[in-house]
Amino acid sequence: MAMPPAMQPDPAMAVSIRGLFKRFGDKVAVNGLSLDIPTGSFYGLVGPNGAGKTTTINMLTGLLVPDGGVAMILGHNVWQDVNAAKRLIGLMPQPEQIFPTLTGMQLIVYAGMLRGMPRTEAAARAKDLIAAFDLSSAANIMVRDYSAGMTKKICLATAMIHSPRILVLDEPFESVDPVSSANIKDILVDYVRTGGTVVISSHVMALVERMCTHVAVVNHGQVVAAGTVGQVAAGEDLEERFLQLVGGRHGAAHIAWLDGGADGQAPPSAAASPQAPAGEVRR
Amino acid sequence: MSAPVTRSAGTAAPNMPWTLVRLRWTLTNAALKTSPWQVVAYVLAYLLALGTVVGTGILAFAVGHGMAHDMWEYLPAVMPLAGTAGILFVALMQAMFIGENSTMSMDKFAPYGIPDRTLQLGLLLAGLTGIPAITALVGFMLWAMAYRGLGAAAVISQLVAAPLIVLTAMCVSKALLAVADIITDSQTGKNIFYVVVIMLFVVVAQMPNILMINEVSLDAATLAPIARVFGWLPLGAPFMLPFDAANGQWLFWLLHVLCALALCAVCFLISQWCLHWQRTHSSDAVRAKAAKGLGLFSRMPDSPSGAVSARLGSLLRRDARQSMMFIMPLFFVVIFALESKDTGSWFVWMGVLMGGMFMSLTESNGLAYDGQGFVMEVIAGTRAIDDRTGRVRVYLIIDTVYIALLSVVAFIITGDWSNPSGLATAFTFIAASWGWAVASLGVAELFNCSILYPVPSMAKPFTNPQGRGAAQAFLPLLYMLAEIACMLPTAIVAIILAATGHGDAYLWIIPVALANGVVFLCLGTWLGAKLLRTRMLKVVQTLDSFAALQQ
Repeated sequence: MAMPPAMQPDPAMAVSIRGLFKRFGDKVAVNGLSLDIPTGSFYGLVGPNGAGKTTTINMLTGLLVPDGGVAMILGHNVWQDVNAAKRLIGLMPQPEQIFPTLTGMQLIVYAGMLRGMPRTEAAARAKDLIAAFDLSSAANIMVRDYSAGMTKKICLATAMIHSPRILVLDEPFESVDPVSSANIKDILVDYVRTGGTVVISSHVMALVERMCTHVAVVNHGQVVAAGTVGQVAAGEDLEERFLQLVGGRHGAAHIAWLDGGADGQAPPSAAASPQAPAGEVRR
Repeated sequence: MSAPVTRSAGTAAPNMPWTLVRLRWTLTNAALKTSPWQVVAYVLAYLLALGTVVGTGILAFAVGHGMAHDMWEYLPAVMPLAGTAGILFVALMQAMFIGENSTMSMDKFAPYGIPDRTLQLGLLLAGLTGIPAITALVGFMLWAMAYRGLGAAAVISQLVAAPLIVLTAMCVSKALLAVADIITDSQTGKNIFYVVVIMLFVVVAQMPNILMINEVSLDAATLAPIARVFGWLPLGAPFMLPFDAANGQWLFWLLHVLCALALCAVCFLISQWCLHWQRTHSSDAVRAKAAKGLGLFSRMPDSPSGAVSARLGSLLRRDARQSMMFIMPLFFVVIFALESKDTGSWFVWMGVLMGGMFMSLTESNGLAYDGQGFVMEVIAGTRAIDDRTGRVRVYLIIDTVYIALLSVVAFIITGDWSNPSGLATAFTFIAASWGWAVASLGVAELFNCSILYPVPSMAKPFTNPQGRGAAQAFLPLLYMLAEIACMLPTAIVAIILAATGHGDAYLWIIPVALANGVVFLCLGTWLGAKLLRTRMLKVVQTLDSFAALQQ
């Protein structure tokens, strides 16, 4: 039976998802999620822990088979030809998903050659990426000896080596120092300017608000708001709007034994106000 | 005023050692859920444990009932020697295969401020409540029946000795592992330690054979003086208790107990000191390892499968966990050479043949050794056939070069290069060894994407993901059965030649073995690729669950 037109994915979009569904045992992780990500956008995917962001990304990038729904990348149905879709995507691996006994240079070349790039081209691009990510002095050092931030940068480089049409990055700036972070942002902004699409999953609202053109708020496996950052924020601070959309914030509970150790005396403010009203806390 | 640690009435402070025991079993049960094969492995391990207990009971009953009366004179000479060798064997086994449970390792408990002694005691108790320790305890207690002829005191003494023996073995193993963890703070150190442990293990395991073949007398009179010495050494001391009791030498009895307890105390303190040292020192000699250029990446084919080959080759060079595979075939040749005195030079070549069989043992679980890094291939959309081809290329090179080197060693030992008959025998075995190695490689490419079991993390090769023991004991056995089966065509031809009186036409085995190897290699690679293509995401899921066990 054909899908109703409203449920058809939009092939003109960089990413078009319709009714994506995934259940792990009794828990529904993604519950009929639908989303369109325009080509050339810098798209932020935000949501509380367990909202279904990573599951959605995994289903979108061919790492997890959905129980239902459609995911389309630049007009290609991901699960009809998963390897063709993967060639269009640059998914940043997590630090534990790389080989730490390779050097940074080897790891990037490995990522390039795996995608069928000629070795010379992969090596040349790897050099460019290493320079761009300020890793030149560590290029020939094993990744296991890198700091967390350097490892993150190498992971990002492995996702970019084949110049994908869409970059999918999960918390790309976590542990990265401010200077490198700024350099990476410049690279990503340039990439978007040339027609690339970046999808980032992040918990840092300030970053999403500053960098992204679009944002989707995911909660309980569904999109609760999506659009340009301005549309979703609706005139408010994005973080504040996010808290309103996903809820769950409550007044500071007084935990009797959590007293800072000052002879068992609770801090005066907490003692005076055992449960501050939610409104006050938010202010 | 209430102190921060004050508990509400009725809430007792947890007994930390027993909490660790409960944690051990919780983690073991959790490991069962990682794969159905783990369940199979556990069931087999429990059956093996039951079999050991029943077998020991029957043997003990037979010895004690007088059915094996002639063994009685041997017992005082054999028990301290066999016991010492057994405890050393167990300790080496732990270092080689089983290791310290990574989830139960000390660094996991560092944030909680548990006193070193309490933590060490908890880890020791956790070890003592495992299936191997319980099996050994029950077995040694049943062994008391063997001493019925020596009187009630001897029987009771063995019941006392049983927990003492298990405690001694556990303390020695834990101390050895703790020391190993500290002295191997570099990758080279880890590799060297692994090789040394395996050498010792093989030598200890082969010692009885070597002694017998070299006609070293093993009668009671020869063994008795050696046994007396070992009886006073801490590892042999607990095995002397029944004999002390039977002879009424109660002072000796007490001294033997004290001897064993002293060793346990020393081992406990060593482990505790190591624990303290690990907490207060950096865990790794942090020297950044550099490698100029692209290394193997510039020498492998310029393709995705070449990338897989280069990555795998680089990994193997730096992976202490897989060193055993590279040393084992050489040991086969050496051990078979030592045992070839009465059999002739062909027995040395048997070592080369057996070496071929073991060359792909770790590759049969190769994706587990790759760990979550395998996800990079999945992210890149690498074709399964490229993965299989890349892996096979590396092992094919290793197998061929290694068998050539082993053959040179065997030629030097046997001198078979100097006569045509020797050369014919040699080349038959070399061809059979290579055929077996590559056929096994084909089988390994099927196994490593379908039957995976957890392995230690690369950073801590002497640790063990909780619950790995059972799987590690069973699944390689399954693989070995499969690789024996895959050489049946060659074996059948050899048997037919022998049975029909054409034994001198054994050179026909050469083309058959080579063809047998190549066919199974191609078949294994092709089927492995098909299987990997359908199971790729399942493999990723399994590797994720293994990684959780390593943490």
